[in-house]
Amino acid sequence: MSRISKEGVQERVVGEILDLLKKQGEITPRELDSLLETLAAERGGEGREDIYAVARGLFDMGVIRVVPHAIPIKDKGLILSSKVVVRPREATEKGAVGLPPRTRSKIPHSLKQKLGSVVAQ
Amino acid sequence: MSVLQRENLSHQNRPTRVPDAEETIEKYVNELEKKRKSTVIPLLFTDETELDRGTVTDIYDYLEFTKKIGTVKQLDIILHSSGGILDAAIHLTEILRSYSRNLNFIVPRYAKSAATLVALSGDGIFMDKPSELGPLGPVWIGEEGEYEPSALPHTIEFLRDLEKKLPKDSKTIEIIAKRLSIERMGVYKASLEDSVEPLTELLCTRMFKKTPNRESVAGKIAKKLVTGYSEHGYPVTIGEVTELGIPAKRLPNDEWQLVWKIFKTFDSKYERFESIV
Repeated sequence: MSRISKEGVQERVVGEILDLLKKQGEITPRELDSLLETLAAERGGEGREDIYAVARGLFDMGVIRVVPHAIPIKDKGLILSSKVVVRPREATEKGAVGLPPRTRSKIPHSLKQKLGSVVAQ
Repeated sequence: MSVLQRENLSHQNRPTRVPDAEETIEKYVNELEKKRKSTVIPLLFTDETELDRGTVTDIYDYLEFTKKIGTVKQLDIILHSSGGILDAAIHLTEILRSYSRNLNFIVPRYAKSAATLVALSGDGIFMDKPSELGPLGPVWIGEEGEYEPSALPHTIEFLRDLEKKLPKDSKTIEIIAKRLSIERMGVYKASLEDSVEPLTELLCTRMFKKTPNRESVAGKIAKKLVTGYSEHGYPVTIGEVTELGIPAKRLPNDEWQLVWKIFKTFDSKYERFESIV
């Protein structure tokens, strides 16, 4: 079995998350978690922490964000939940490179540049 | 095979639709309403969702314009939340109180932090073995991480003890003291007082409205919940709540079972995952 580089894994994680979001428009945090678990399972659990770190990095950078999402139980109550969405296109057109410095260590510079162009498509 | 037999067989083979979580919760709420002869509203927060201004908007919008609740004789709120912003919680209590003169909170699993204040804002509170409230002391989030102002007296006590153990000419205390900001400590102390006052007021005006010396009783409870715990996640269970003097009650078994089924249905669909949020 060929080993994939750390950067390769990071790129795959980012790609899968954004593909899913583009396809569905929005996902629940639980669906995102399932995706990350699948990615980790494909690698036999190896690098699970890295996979989660990359996903957290996307949140920290503001590329994807969590917005409140209230689900009515018809007229019998309310579930106060949230959903994961991609930042609006205009906010990401400049790319992820210009985003807050505190998150820069989470994702390599080369990937951030790619990420910027992927999200802006 | 008769036509009737064939029809029965075809009916048996028809795939039955599994009700989704929301439908199941609705069914249990209907049953609970019949048993309690009240209006029951579950407000179930997922762990990553804070009780904040946005959720107050959602709850108001739902009750006023979707549910069109009006004023009801008895309102039972099933509350599950890990907490949030104190100001938003105070505002939410005012909104919920406006719909009924007999407002109860039922806590199936937990109503922590700011949600504890909401859970104590009604005329009654129902808890059972797995239910927990939490300390109300504020948590400050700064560059160095989270800080609980309620731990301030412990810091001072620690420095006092350390001073006794150190030689008289030691500069250790002086060095540590230089790192403490007097202004920030003042703000921390004020934030504790800001939390005691609204809870005292809420307890006095509903749960303890008929209690003699209600201000003193409610004040004592509020002070304990705000400053009496150094760990913000501490589980304040029904036993401890009762010891504090809060008249928490248990629901009859059949009603509690329905509440638990409502919570479990919510929990199995919306919770139990490692949130990265």
